[in-house]
Amino acid sequence: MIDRFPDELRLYICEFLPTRDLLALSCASRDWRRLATDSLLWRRRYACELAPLMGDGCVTSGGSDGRDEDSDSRESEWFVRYGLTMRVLSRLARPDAAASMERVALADDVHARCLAHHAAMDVLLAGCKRGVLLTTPLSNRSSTRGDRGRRSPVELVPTAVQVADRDAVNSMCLLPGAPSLVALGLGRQLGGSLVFDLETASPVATLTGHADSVFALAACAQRPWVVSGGGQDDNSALVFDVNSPDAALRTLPHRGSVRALAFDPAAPSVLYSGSLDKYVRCWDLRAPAREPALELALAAGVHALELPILSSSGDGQTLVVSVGRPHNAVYAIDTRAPHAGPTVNARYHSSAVSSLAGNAFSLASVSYDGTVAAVPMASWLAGEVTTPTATYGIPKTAKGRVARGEDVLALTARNVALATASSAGLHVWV
Amino acid sequence: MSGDHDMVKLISSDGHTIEVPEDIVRKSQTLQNTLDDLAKDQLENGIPLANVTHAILTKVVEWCTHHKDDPPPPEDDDARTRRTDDITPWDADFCKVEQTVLFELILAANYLDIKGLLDLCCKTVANMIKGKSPEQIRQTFNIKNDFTPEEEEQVRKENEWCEEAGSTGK
Repeated sequence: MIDRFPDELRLYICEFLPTRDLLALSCASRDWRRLATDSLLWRRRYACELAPLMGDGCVTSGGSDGRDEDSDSRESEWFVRYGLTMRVLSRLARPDAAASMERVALADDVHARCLAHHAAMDVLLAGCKRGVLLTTPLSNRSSTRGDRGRRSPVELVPTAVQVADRDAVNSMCLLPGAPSLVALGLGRQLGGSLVFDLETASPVATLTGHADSVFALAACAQRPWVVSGGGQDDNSALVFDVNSPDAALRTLPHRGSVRALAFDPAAPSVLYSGSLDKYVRCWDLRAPAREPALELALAAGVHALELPILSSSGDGQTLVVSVGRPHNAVYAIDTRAPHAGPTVNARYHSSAVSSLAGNAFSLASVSYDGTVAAVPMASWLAGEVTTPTATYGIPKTAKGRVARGEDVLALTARNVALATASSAGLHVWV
Repeated sequence: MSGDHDMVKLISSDGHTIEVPEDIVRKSQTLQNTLDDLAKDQLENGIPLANVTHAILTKVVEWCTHHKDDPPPPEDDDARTRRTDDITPWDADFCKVEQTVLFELILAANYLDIKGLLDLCCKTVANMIKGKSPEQIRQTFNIKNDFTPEEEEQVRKENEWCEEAGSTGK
């Protein structure tokens, strides 16, 4: 009888099904295949479930304004697109991933210290000794292999933009409200950060007040706030309003170098700061109090923090933290029960993890041991995965030393899966 | 305007007339429009419902009576994934009926435009599909597998990404 329901009602039932069950239903018969792969059905799913996870917005949800009615007339276009996106989001941690991907050195003669992907320009930015390397757009890269099975790395060849005379660019973050701006955390000569305009290749503001290098930066998604974390002669994070950059709005104290900063994706005024003083502190920047809203003592100095966007309902509930020697561990902490201790305690790197990159499907960690480890997020959080399902090796430096992994990006771009900044340069996996 | 105790006559497709308080009838967007459009004397003879049998109409009225004080259902919000784990015990009990009755209820709720009831019944059907293999789904709903072996292989390939992604089922 359900077979004789009007399409509209059967599609409505489909809307209540999780992906896996909808796919099972699509295998039942030709008619159900036609319905359960309906393009509009999957476009809605894409917009609800996947678009929020594409953190850097590389693929947009597509307007619901009917502009692309033409493409929707292709019956299962969004079904296919949903599947491709799921593959992209989950590929990092697949066991065959490291073997099936090609590592390309975009720069191997520099010590790259930090990374960002500018979604609108679709370029990678890497901070290095005196400035920034800027690649050509990632999508320019052809996704098909040539006759010889080799693709030319020259396609993404970066250009260098000098931003400082004596300082290195230690950290960077893009400004969500200002598409052409990037904040660059410099060394102790400046003792602060530059807000740099990528279009004019010139600085537009200077955020100073640190006594040491700026090792961490974060930008608020809703307000024009940039937070910078200072080094060991400084021991504090400073909150700036980029529109009135002359003086910091407030100081967030620690007792050691501030190495990691992350805004809560679910509560844009909530900031987590991690320091080598072994503490993670949580600040509500709307509240005037000088004291943190929450303080977590960890087993060792904090090197990296990540608040992965896990789903439309579960954002901001999991804090992923890396701590350094002697543990060199990555912890998952439930922010709703922060004092219960880590729910996951993973030790599979031989040095500290300097940076983490996560989405709902995979978590990647890059370490001073010269490797990137990837795990499937859901099973890792459930404690089912104790060793990395995929490991990516950064090559040795020009001097033959193990590369010091500094930063990692898990990309959602179709042609590039992973990018690393290290003492061996800038590398991507394609 | 009408008082609280105004009764409306509804005539089912099999010719039975039942009297239902007007505030209950107004849970149906379709009937609400009818009530607003027709003059009072035109309602004297009752409103014929060509697509709803007496047995189903009784069930619909039972549901609307239980839910008469519910706030109006929210407008459709595309931004949220639709949940099926929010069914109250009373509603779950209400839906413990033969499959044919459940499907008749869906058709009636759709025709009468009662969003709360339509959602409840569609969620119940969705819950009957959840966790089942394609073959179990066919058995549950008596669906005939009309794929050729080649088509079935093609479908399996097109769905492969779900297994690869792993974490997507919940």
